[in-house]
Amino acid sequence: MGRGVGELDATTWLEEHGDALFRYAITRVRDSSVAEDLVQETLLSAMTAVDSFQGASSARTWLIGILRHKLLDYFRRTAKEQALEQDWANFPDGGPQEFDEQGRWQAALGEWGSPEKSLVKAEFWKVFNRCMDALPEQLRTPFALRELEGLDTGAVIRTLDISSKNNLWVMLSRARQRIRSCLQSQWFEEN
Amino acid sequence: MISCKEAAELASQSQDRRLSLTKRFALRFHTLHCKLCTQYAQQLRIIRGACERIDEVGSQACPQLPDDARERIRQRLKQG
Repeated sequence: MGRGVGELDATTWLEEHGDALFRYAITRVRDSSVAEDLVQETLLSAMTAVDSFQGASSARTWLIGILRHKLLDYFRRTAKEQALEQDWANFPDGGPQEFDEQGRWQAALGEWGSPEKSLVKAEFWKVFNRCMDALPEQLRTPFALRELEGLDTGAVIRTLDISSKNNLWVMLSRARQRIRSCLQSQWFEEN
Repeated sequence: MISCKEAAELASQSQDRRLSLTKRFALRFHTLHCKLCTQYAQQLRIIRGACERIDEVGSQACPQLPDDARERIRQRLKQG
């Protein structure tokens, strides 16, 4: 049996870009088996769309572009299945209680020094990923789409079918508050 | 004057939309007098900066595509 051009390319892409695609995906979905599926779907689509790759961009850039579409499809699907926002509406705010009854900070926030030093350390990113994992999915997904994928709020709302901008702003604010608090206690306090 | 809780909310929102003039002023006035909220807004910006660089520098902490998954995908690709 002869090997088709598509097949040859796809297995080469898997060798050369499999890790990069996997990392891009797992950074956003925080689930290994989902990320693996997304890599596979991406390469299968790439095989059938090889005509659209004309060397205008690097193969990696082109593959990441396909993966980003798959990621949005995945988030759209799971949001529908889980009725993300209904869960959210009943979601008890188990986050850090940082304000007193008058809405004042309960405690000092801590100095973060020069974060540049942290960003080049693998340990920092392990903590960052742990903080992402600690977010409830209802907050993590909008946060990932907004901050990691860089979607504007309108696109996040459409992807996740969130009913109002106001709800999204609250979700993002709570996500950031938790990430901040987590980075504070897990990283900056000790480094 | 708005509370720290409200200021923190607005500091977050200002990363997602252009605040109305009234809200911008309320936030600005609050942070002028509040070191903690100034710090909070800074830390939110640091978080955003980190997120923007996660693919560039954060992937060092990510696992590679597991071998068994790689093999499974390879077999699947051969089927076309």
